[in-house]
Amino acid sequence: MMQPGFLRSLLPWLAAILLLALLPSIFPSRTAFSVMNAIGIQLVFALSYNMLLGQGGMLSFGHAVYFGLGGYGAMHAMRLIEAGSLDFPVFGLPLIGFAVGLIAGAVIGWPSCRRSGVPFAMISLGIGELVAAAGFMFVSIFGGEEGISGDRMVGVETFGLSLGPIKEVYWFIAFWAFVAALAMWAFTKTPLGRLSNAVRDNDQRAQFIGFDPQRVRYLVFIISGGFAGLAGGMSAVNYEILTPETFSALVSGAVLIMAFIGGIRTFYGPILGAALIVVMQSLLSDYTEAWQFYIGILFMVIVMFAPGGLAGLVERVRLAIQRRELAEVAPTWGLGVSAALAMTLGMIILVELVFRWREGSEPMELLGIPLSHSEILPWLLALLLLGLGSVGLRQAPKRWGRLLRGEAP
Amino acid sequence: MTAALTLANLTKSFGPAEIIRGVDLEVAAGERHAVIGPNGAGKSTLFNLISGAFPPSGGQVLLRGRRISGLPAYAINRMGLSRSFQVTNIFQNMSVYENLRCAVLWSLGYRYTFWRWASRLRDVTERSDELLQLLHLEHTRDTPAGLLSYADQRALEIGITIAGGAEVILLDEPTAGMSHAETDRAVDLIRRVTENRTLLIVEHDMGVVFGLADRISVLVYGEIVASGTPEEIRGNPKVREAYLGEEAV
Repeated sequence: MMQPGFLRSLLPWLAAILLLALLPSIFPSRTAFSVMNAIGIQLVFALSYNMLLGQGGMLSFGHAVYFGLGGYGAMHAMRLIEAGSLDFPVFGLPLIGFAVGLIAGAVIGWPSCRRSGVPFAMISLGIGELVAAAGFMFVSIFGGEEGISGDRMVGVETFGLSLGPIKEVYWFIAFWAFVAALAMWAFTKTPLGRLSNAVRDNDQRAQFIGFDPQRVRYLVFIISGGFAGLAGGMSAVNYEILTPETFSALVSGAVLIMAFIGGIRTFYGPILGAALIVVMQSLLSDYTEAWQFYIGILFMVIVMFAPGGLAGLVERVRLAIQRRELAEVAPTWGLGVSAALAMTLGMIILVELVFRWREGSEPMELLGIPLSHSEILPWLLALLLLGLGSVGLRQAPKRWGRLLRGEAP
Repeated sequence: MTAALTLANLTKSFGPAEIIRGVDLEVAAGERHAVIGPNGAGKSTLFNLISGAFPPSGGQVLLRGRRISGLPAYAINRMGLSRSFQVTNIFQNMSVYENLRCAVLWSLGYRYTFWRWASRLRDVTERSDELLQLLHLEHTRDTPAGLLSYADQRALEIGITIAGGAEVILLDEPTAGMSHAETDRAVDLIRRVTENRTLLIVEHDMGVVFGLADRISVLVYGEIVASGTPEEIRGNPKVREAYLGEEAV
């Protein structure tokens, strides 16, 4: 029997199908397709990471291992298809990635899930480094520094997709991103998914209701490895190349940042994070050399001031709408948001000025206004914006506090 | 008939410090048994040994005649012994209802299941609804457990403890930090949920102890100095001396 609540929880998925179907018409450019495909891959990766961090309370610094191994598995399978020795559609390669990720999770998780907390994090870091080193050592498997590449336009076609043009790859990515996200969401609704929350909250208590927290962590770890491998398989088909760099701590760090910026306390948070970070990576880097700096700042601000991530902010607004107090809180939030924007703007101007002053590239232009680092005015503008922003950000919480206490703001 | 719970010459040392120094105790099935004693007597350690939080240094714990000492906590729980904690130990970020649903899973035969919808397990729903009613927590069903009032958190703690239907229940200071009215409600709850079960309880509130327990054991410096009915304990001069710190005249 279908409960109405269950049906309602499927609505976002219908909306997602609609969005996936419409995106190519909204953003028809080649660049947009490559960005959307990258988002699709990273969102699966980030969701699989959040099975560990957000749902299971396991902080991993080595999740790239499963992404990479799944990717290599799929890539080798793709080469076998090309050589004619494997009869398998390229469209299904993420399943190979999933299987390899599962196996890797089962093997590596066996020792590492015996510990939780800090030791678990340390072990994951160690294994990440180990596999990254092995990636460069075993040239016959991982292809050394050049990596290995393949051709996705081989074997049988599925759904009439040749997977040649990037547009067709989009449908492949959209399909798997949707299926994987739906499967991971369903997992959170199973008894094991709930138990993983229980172990996250209180692993001692979990023992005293009859469950072995080690076993719960291990099973979640295996499944999470599988989905990371699936994302790796998507990546193998999308880029047609994999290098041992895929195993690096940079990749493991990036997925952590995506999940956290998006918000680890909600299911959809990592999707937002993956989208934002991929967009920042690919678009911001065209405009500024300091794009990584901005991602770092954003990460730190989220950690310190909005630990719920972007999804946490969304949830807050949703709650306000539900309680019909949006009109009441809007001025305070407006103040906070404008102050934050002023500070961001001030920071960007300052960073870019400093960069140009030291590295001497062309004077910058912001929204069509030339801001030269050799004049004093842009510097003052940056400081003024930072000052105004910080005053506003100090005021907003006070008003917020008065509001919570029911006083006039 | 075998006792529900038997401790035989149980000892526990942490390094050179011997905390539990040879405890022998039998709790009959259906009995409500209280352990009292001054601070630092080893009451919580005793509970940790029985429930498998850590293994004893020597001696045995038997549950209905079967040895459980040395087994991991989850295995002991599955065999029918469940405990609460002195410091509230619940799943903070999960709703009250989800706390209870998780707590009944194992006893209803759902292991590490990931091929069914958790919310559609009818027996889990029935049992959890029953518990919610029994605990008088219906109004907080969807509240995150960490946001409950202290007394409600303690009630939930007891609820999680009894949810799996264990025959032997260990409660570690269930009324600590409660007001009089809250204590009365808690005692009433304990009485109801331990009906036809065996209860071992550590408690500081003597009103609760003497009102609830069929038998009482007094633990002093890791040893049981007296065991008996409330009347016997009340009249025992050794107990008065050790427990109340009065010098024997």
